[in-house]
Amino acid sequence: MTTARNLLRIPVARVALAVLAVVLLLAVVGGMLAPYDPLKQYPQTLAGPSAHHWLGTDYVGRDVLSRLMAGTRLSVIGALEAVAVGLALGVPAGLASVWMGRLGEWVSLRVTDTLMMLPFTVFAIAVAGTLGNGLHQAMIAVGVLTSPGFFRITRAVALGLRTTHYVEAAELMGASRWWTLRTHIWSKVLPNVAVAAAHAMGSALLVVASLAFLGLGIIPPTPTWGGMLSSDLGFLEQQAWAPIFPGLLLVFTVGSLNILADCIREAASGEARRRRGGVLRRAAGRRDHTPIGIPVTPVGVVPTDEEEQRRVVAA
Amino acid sequence: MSSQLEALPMLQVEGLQVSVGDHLVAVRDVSFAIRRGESVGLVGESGSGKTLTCRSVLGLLPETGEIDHGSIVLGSGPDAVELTGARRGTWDKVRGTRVAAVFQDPASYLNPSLTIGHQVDEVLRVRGGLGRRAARERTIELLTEVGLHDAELVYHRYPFELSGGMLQRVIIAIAVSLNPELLIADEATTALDTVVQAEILELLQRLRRTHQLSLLLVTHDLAVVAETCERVLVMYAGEIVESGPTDQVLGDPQHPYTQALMGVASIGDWSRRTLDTIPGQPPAAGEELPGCRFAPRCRYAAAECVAGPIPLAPVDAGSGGPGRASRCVRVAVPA
Amino acid sequence: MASATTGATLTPQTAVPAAASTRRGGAAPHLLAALRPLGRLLLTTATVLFLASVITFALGAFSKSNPAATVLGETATEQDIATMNHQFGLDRPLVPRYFTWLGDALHGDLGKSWFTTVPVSDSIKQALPVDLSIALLALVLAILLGTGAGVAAALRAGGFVDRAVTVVCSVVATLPPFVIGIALIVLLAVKARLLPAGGYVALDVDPVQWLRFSILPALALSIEVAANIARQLRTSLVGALRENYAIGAEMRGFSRRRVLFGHVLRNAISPTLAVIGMAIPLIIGGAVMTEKLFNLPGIAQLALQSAQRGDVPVVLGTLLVTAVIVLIGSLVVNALQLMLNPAARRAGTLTGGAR
Repeated sequence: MTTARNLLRIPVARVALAVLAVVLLLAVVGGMLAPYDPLKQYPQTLAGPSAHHWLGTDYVGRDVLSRLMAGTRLSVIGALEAVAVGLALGVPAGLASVWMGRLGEWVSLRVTDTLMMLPFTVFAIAVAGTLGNGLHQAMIAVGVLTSPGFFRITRAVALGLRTTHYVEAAELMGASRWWTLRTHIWSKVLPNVAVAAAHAMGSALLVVASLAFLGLGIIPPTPTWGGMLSSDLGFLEQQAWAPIFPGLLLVFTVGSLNILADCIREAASGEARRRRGGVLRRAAGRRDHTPIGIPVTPVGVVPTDEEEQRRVVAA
Repeated sequence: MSSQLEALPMLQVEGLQVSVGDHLVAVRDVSFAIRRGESVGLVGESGSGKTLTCRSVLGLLPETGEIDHGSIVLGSGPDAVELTGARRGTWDKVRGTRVAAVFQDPASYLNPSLTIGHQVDEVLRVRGGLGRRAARERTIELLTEVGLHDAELVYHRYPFELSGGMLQRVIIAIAVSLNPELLIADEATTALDTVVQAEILELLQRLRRTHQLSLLLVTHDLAVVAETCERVLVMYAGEIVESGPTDQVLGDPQHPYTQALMGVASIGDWSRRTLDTIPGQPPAAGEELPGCRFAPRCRYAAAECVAGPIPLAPVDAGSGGPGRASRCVRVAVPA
Repeated sequence: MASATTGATLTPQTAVPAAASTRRGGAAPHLLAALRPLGRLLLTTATVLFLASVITFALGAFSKSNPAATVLGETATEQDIATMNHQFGLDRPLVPRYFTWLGDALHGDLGKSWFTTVPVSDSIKQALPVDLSIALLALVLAILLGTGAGVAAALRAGGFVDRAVTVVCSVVATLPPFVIGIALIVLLAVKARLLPAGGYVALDVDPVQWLRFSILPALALSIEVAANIARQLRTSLVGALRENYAIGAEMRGFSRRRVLFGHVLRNAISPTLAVIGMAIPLIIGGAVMTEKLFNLPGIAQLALQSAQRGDVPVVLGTLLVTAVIVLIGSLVVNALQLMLNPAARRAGTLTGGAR
């Protein structure tokens, strides 16, 4: 695909992809590559970095580096699960909402509003408390809360397309909804969803880390990035620098995902954009909600979040 | 008022050169003066440099433009202010109280979320020093003066509730509220329909008389100039090519471009059936030419026209008196 | 020379287009105009509230947890389970249960804890003020810091302040709140020993101590939001300063400050208000994290403990209450947006009425 080729041409994108590839690798084989057993406790507790333990040991003597590598797996899997759920719920719903008729549309918008309104950590706690404290339950919960984002972007694309002439022409000639969907809309939806998915992965990783930090979703002593941050908290006096390791890993991964999302957007829409602040701006995940590939009209056809919100208010 | 006072220039532009983008000269060697109470038209097609000239006088050049050299002096004697290179503080003092502007598309120049009354009051209170009640009264007076019936109702309306013509009247009211010496109207009537256009022009004339206002009307429409301006400056490709009293310039043009314009405009000539055009294109922005910038399209062009830069020289045509000038070597030659 | 139509006005100069009111001017017609979209806003809010309650109740309904398991743990027998279920009214059909629960909730009764039989609302009433006070402090800090930075950056766009703000915001935005929180603890509490690393004193007990304990968590919560606000505000302001109406104001001789504060700010603030609106769930959600970080006895601790025990009514209660708080915050922000932009009150379009 030309988008993929364009993507690889952007230097920052290549860096981001490299970082993510490393993380993915760790997720798959991290446990095996680790120098020590992440659960094994050594006599030297709270040791600083040394030749034996490159990143030191934690409060019960476990090797920090091994825990980090092994912990990548659960964090990444959890985030992937959440995003998958979000995609599966959000994208079809977004497409459907455009053809549903006014009442169906209004109801789906309200459901989206509700899901966006629920604060994710409290919701995750509630899910853990009612449906059980497992990783899958928590991730599904997070996925449900991520779906509004996909819903909105898919809907915006479909709305924009619905009123373009070529879709109208197709429908006039008797094309079935399904055919229209497949032929015209898919190629427009895909790049937008890809961008949203990259952003969502970043957020999901943060959420997983937050939940692990709170003790939800995983049973210790299994290592996760968030769990490590949590235990590091208790020993800041002795090891003030300990949170840096999981923290940095988290920041770099999330930053790379945001950068990737931005680069996908650039690659797909084919416009080179002036960047002030360069890498940092991309990493910060500044979101541009205008869909790619849809002719941008000033007001009404393709609502931005604010306009949709105002429209939602006024509708 | 003594004729001597009236003869003092209220605005003196001398040798103005403005360049845009990558040092492309878009306005060159522009000099003119406007006397107190005089109405002057600055006429030209798009790209002639008239808008940039106007913006320079207002201090509104875009980021890509800058004044290379020249001077723009507002007022005379002890009141004179040099506007080129002026800082924001100077502009803030001068705008509104000494020079004011009216632009095309009046609706966009008003704050959409404040009422008309609020916006006129604001000028009177912040810059005119009036108290709340006095400002309100004066606002109603001004709104009535510019021809808005039901000024009390208009006072409470928002811009999106009024028509284009009414909004332009509001802008004019704001512009004259602090009694400036000079009002610059940049295509002020272009977006309005002809009836409203005529009304606005008549309003400007009336205000000129009551407020002793000088008027600089920037437009591409010769009919507007013919109706409203005592003197006219014709611009082409960044230069002033002809200047003088309006009826003389339009009745007996002393520059081939003005002649051609009159042919195209067909003011008052109802019998003509064919549409004249001027063959060719104006030079690209910033293009450097050896001599006259109209020469490539001019039917009278001769070798001397492209020999060197042509100055804007006084013309002593039979019909004209002093105050006429033309940038054409072939015309300045006495018949 | 002048055409014959001058003098007499052919176009009627009445100020009001056909369908509007004939009353004399004043603020009244505009308040009324605002009521309709406000009504729609209330309807949407009510619907969302209803949906949130359904979701909350559904979580409880699907739960395998029951009072007997919570209290008696593994020793619970079938008989125990049945008895306690009946005691808590859990053997009734779902729909009537939902409405009873909702009805009670609207009156402030959120049921009783399965574990302690303490009324849920009491526990929440104790825990909520902790989060609310800190969240409010965080919001205030975020707005102060964010708008200050955004305005300073926009006043001299392209200048030093502007660039500094941009860089800081970008860096900060890559860091999630709890990372910032940890950094703050390490820097200010552990190393510099300026502020305590944890603990809490209620506002009504001792305001000064409350501030001492609250400032770090509030700061941690506020920084991300402040950065978002600053970025959005700066962009909106700089864009709006280029608009014609800002130029119009400039042409009246108004200073930079007056143009910005008197004209541009009120028009450009809407997207920033949206950012603030989105911050409310962020802050509430983040408050949960900071509770753990700073060891605060707030609603998240309550929820966490109850979740670990499987104490469903408490968990549901906390979810419902936090959702309602976020909803109220959103409602306020949306209403403010409506008030500030009269053109937006008309059918949600931005282009306004007849020309």
